[in-house]
Amino acid sequence: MRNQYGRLLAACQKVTNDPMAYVTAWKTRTPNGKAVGFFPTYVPTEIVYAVGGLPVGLWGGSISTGSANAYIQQFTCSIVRSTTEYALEGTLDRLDAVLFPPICDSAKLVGSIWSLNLAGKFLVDMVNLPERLDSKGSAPYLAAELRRVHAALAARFGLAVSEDALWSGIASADRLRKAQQDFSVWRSQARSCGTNLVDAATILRAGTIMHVDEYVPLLEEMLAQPDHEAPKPSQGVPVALTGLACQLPHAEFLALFESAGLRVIEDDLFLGMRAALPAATAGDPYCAIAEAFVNSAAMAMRHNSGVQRHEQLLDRIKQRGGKGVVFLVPKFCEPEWFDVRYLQAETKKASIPSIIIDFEEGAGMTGPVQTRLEAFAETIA
Amino acid sequence: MTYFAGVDIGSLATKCVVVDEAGDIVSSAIVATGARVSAAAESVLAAAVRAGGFDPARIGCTVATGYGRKRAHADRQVTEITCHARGAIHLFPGTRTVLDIGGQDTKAIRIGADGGVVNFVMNDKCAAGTGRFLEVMARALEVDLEELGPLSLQSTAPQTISSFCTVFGESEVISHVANGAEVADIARGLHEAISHRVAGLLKRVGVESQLTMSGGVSHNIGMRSALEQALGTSFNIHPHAQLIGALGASLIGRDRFLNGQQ
Repeated sequence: MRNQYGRLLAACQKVTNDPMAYVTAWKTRTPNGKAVGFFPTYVPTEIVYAVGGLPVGLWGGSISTGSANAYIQQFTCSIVRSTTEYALEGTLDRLDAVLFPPICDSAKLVGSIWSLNLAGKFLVDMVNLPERLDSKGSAPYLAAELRRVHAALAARFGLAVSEDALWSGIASADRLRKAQQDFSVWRSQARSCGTNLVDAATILRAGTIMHVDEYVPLLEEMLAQPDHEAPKPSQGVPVALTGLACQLPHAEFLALFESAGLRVIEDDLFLGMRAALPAATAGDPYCAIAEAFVNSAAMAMRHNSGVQRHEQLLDRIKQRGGKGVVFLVPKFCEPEWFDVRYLQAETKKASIPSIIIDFEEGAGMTGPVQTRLEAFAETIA
Repeated sequence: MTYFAGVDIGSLATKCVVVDEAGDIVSSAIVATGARVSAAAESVLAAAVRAGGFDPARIGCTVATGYGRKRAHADRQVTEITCHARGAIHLFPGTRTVLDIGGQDTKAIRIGADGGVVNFVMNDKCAAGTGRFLEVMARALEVDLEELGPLSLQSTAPQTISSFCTVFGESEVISHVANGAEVADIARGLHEAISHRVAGLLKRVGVESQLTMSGGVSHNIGMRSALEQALGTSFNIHPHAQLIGALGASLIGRDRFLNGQQ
């Protein structure tokens, strides 16, 4: 039984250690298969599947950004610099297209830079998601934008636009999201086996790179075993972790949580990709995707007066027995830093202790962060 | 009698305090940390045992704290946040805010009436506002570190030091010296620069009376003066302020032992 978890983790580690090797292999075995990279936090992968493509999440990494620094100033979040460095040095040359959602000024900036400087390598397109989700016009606007993106990708790849293919793409994307949501619930439950934060991040990240038909069976197989021997979960103080929707800290940094005596029972790792509701299964497929998006989980990059982020956070903490919140926020991330003070005020009102820690993609000095996390654990234990 | 040792391994100095079952200090010691953290921890504990004149086998629990705590042979490791809070409230029961200016970091800690930590903030990104900053500046001014504080109190026209960065701050000091500024005035400017930075840190956790200062920089009377002026309030400072972290660690060990948790 240990094999299910071990097999899943090994496959995911291989993919996340070298995503482009996976992309190359997938393209080799998939005639006319197109790899479509995407910047966080969300793009409509349904459309990528509809054009026979492989959605490839670009989540940055620890890389020295000498070339990217010529295009992008230092005081921006590290992911825009690291992904640009990968693009400039040719690591992403196997991609056929890249989609950018305008989640913040930095994302718009880097999307524009790529459009101007890298359009010769691959199609670069902005998926103009609505920031405001609670307007009557949001879903129709997005549906129209999705039609445009679908047409653009199809034209680029020499395909006809097919609504049947899009329905099939919707089914694939929903299947992936359900599996990742089930994984999230499984992680949060206290039992004799579980996973740690580093493994969880690896497993979730792999889901944004591997094809859904390869990834989901591995994940479902692991979750289906009632007595499987995944690692023992940490016995630490249960806390929620938020702020990570876009960037990922280094594995060494993520490992600090368990070693500091904390157990993460709720997080927003890759939330943009796993939090949409299932789309409708009839009617206009573009409207179905748009409706699912405008009703998805609250995040810093979206405004929805009907879905308050703090209410969702407090709800999850209560459901999962959390004793505190760690706001783990990327440096220079304007959307998250705007939200973090409001969220901290709301958690304080609810008598839930919190701590704010900022990070960049490299491991950096982990000693002081370890001290802060341990002190937090000591305070709330 | 059973004894309880607390070892605080800081970046510059390693401290040890031994208390008895009543929580009274029996002995203490301070050694330079150096590059070999484990050796410093062993050395300071041995020195405290010698100073106390008791059999080390009578130590019921040793708690290590400080940045090097993971590398000390101890029964338990506890962060310096918790230990400074515990130690400060033991010495000054009315303490509700602790300021620890250490060799390389600065901590502001709010504590509740029960001595539990309510909130804390650390400045661990840069040496400005720490003991290291003062060391570098003392060298630039060619005065002994111990003289810097008293010298600053002789200032009549403090020089502004605007750089936050220790390296650039040193350049600024050298500029002031070259321009003929009085050393006392530069020294006061340095203390005021640190106090403004530290005051900001304290205000982030919320300043509640009484304030207690801990760490080696507490003994710098120039720093105390500048901080009290910046905050408009006074600090409790114990003669053994540098040992507060180690004291807190020893008391935590004592508490756990007597509660049967060891």
